[in-house]
Amino acid sequence: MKPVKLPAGYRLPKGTTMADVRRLDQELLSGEGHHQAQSYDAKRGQKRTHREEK
Amino acid sequence: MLTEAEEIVRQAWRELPRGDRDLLKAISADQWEVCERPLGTYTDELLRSAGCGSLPADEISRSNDALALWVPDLRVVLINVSHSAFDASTFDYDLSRVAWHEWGHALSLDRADEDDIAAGERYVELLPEGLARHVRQVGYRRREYTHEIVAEIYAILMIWRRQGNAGQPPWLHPEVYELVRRVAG
Repeated sequence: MKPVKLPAGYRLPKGTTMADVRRLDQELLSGEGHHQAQSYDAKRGQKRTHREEK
Repeated sequence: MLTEAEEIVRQAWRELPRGDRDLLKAISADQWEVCERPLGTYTDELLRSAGCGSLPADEISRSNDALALWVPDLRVVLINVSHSAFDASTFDYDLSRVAWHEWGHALSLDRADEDDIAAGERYVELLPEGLARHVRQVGYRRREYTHEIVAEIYAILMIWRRQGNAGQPPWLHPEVYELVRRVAG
């Protein structure tokens, strides 16, 4: 018999509620998450610069 | 509650783009069941009764915490609508979101390739901070990261679509968007 393929599920981190999930969705969809993505890109750019200096 | 839940999930299915529904049908991922039981125990019963074997004990326990599961061997999405995480006042939103997440899982598990799976950690790093934290804190295995990202972004893109938008949201890294487009639709 083939081994059972494990199910893929939707679980929440401990202490997180669906209200937290909805809040995060709202932040992203309203554009607030855009700033997070931009700051991540800026951070990557900075790391790249450090490597180039070495 | 079950009747209301079934109607919400049916509506969530109808809101999927036709191409995505066709894709899900093509991979036999167009069946679902809403129930009021811990999903690890229930899935194990279903697998054993279908002659597919049993889930490991730790996987039963892990899956009992889940709001929903995609069960590849049975080609079915199971949703535990009695899970305490569902809010009565936002049941429609929560349940639709969870159903979309699981259909994203079904597509990802069938269509993501080994390179996609191996790049899971990198894709997590490309997510907005809040989403990355969510994926890391749930305790998924490294090889589950890509599937989790596809499922989660797929669900959020469906909410984006429900709000009348289309295309790539400005907050989503192009590489992650391309991954989801390639794998899920």
